[in-house]
Amino acid sequence: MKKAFKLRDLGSLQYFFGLEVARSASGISVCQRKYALDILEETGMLACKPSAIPMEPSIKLVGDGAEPVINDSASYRRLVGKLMYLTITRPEITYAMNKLCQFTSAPKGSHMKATLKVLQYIKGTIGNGLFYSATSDFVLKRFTDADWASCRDSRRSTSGYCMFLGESMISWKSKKQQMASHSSAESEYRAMQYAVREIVWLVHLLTDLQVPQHAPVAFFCDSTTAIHIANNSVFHERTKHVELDCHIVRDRIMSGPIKILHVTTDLQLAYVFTKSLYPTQFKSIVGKMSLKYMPS
Amino acid sequence: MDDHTRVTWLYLLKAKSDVLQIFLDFLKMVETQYKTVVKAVRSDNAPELKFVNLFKSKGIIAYHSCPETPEQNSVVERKHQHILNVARSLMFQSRVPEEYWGDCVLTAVFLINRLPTPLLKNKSPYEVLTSKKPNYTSLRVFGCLCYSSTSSKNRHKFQPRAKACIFLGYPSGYKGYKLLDLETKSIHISRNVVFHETIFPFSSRDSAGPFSDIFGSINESLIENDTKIVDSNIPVVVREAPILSEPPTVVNDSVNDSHEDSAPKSVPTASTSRSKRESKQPAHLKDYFCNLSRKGVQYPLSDYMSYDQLSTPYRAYICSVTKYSEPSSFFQAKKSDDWIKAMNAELQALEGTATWEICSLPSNKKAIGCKWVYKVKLNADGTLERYKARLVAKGYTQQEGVDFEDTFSPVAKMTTVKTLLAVAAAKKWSLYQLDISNAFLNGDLYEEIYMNLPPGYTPKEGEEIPPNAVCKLKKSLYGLKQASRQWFLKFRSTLLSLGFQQSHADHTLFVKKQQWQVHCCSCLCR
Repeated sequence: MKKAFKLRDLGSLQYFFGLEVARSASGISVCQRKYALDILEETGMLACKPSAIPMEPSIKLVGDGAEPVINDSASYRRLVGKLMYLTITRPEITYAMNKLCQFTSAPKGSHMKATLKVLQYIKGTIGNGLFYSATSDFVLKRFTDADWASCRDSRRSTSGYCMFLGESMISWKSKKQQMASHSSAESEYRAMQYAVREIVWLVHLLTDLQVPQHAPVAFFCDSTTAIHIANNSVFHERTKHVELDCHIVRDRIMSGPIKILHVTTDLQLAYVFTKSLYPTQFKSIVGKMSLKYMPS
Repeated sequence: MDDHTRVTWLYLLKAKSDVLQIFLDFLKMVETQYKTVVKAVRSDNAPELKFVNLFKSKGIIAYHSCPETPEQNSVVERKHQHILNVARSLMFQSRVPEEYWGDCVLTAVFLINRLPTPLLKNKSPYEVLTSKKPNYTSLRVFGCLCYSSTSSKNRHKFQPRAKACIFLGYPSGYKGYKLLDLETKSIHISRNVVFHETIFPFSSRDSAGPFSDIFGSINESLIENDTKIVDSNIPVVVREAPILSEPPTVVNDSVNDSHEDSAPKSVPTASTSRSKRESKQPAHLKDYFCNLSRKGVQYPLSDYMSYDQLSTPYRAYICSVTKYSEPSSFFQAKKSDDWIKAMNAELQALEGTATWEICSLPSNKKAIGCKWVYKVKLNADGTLERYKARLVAKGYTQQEGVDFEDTFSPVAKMTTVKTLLAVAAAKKWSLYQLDISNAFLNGDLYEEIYMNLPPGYTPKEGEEIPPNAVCKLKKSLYGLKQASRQWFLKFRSTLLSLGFQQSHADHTLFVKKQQWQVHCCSCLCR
């Protein structure tokens, strides 16, 4: 490549696109400390009181309602946009950001308040980031979850998934489903479908990176009904309206690349992508996520 | 002021217009108290003191000093100086805030009236006026700490018996003291007071000096160990990386000297109470990175973040990443020589690679704009590499179909990056970062695009620029709609010719497998 272009060797990977990459014998850590610090400084929240959770579970945000739209909606959009970039290394605020993004067209006072709460959480955990362990294996694991009819305005469900390569968390998402579901099992099934699409792609990518997956990818889901639906075409009466595109889950199970396993709710790591949780539960789940304070 | 006894009366006015009423009251007071009348008044030429009608009706003779001749009014002028001298010293000793200047002045007059003076054969004005010796036993030190008993009506058994106050003078008409409550800042009068005449609460607040809060937790090891954070519990000030030979802002000759001076030689004890004075960062701290300061903050950042786990070079890098700032416009940048130099270098590079040629704008064409973008570039160890100015075209003024056609260019997905990092961590691959200089300028341009001259562009000597001059672009420039696409095509073809394979899962990922080695290349450009 040196011949083709004028190159500059920046040495080992340390800082790119606001991501601080630190490497030690135990693994690689990625964080956005400087970026988070800049956001806090811009918003004047450097001295704010830290919070243990990014979003208050008792507050249900709605888009409709009598509350007036705030004057400076552009600043809300800017702030939410900045925080979105922070989700690259902060999976635990993904759900909060997904929720707040739904109000960018007409933000209200309560939404702005919730955004500041996220900033307060960031302040308390400013050095947190992803950690990729050197002793990790290469087995893909997947957690999916859905929160049925969680959107107050459209009554659609929220689906969330997160994916681990060994111990390292590499992909996650929180998304409002495109269609309203009749039952929680249906929404869980839809959530699986989002995850299956991602997993098929990731298996390809890992093959390109010389890490082929030989065993079927384990899928963890806490809904027994959804697992039954995925495994066999049971409950026809209640699922006959489900679009065929959702049944790619069943196809993939049949053809082998994934298998679905049950997991109890307290071990369901994708929980944090579908609901805002109270501090104890939030901490216990985030603690399992291979997030780490910047090591030396 | 009475010319014979030199007794001074001082009235504090809200407005100058009040002076007539006060003067009338004063005349009454003299009449009643001393059984005499005022025969003559001497004043300067202040218009508010010329009570012509009043003087006429009372038969008072008014003497005025000539214009611009205050020495003719010397007795009062000198007394004025005396009062202010005493009041100033009262204020400086007790350090009461300036808002209590009125109490200082009143107390000063009270004291001066009771002090013996050689003018009156070593008698005090008070003594001459009243033929009584003044009582010195009630005098107290101004601004000292005292405890006044709380009223027994308003307290229950377990409330404090006394509250801390500051002595603020002698109220007229009371046998008591004027006190300022330290807690509520209210003023009241009390007789049941215990004085501590050597303690000045306002003074002790400032005694540690204005910088005490900042230096409170730095210790000497900072001087030896520049990048090290001193105390893991209280990391307030991080010294920037010593390797940085140039400060990022306008170069200041004294910077290197001030490094020695700026380290505190002694550690003053931080006082627990906080002064109300608005604090500014001292000038010599400009070489420090004070982000973690816990000064006056209830939830200081240092409780949630510290750099002490980082290795020294990485910390230096992180500190310098945090520290540099970049101008956002040409007008900001042209004030600094560093940025002007950077812009000149960029212009030379662009002309050297024949990116454009200067010509007149054809009548049927429109020129697109351009602007400067500024960036500080750092080396791997955090030292300043250079100031980088980049000329970008305002691609948003381009017209589709005329100036560009396809624009799509793939960008690496963050999930790919994270997956790569996770795999690299577990497989212990080494990771390197490469930067291709002027990457987008490598792309070839097929469309005919005209661009305005860059801001600050001046032709070389002897060169004429044609009227209505624009740059006709020959190569792809940053900011053009198709720039990233052209660059990616070039990058892709180069890597493929080197034996890399493009991943189908993420088209920005290129993999090359050799014996025992896997090279992965990911293109991250935007």
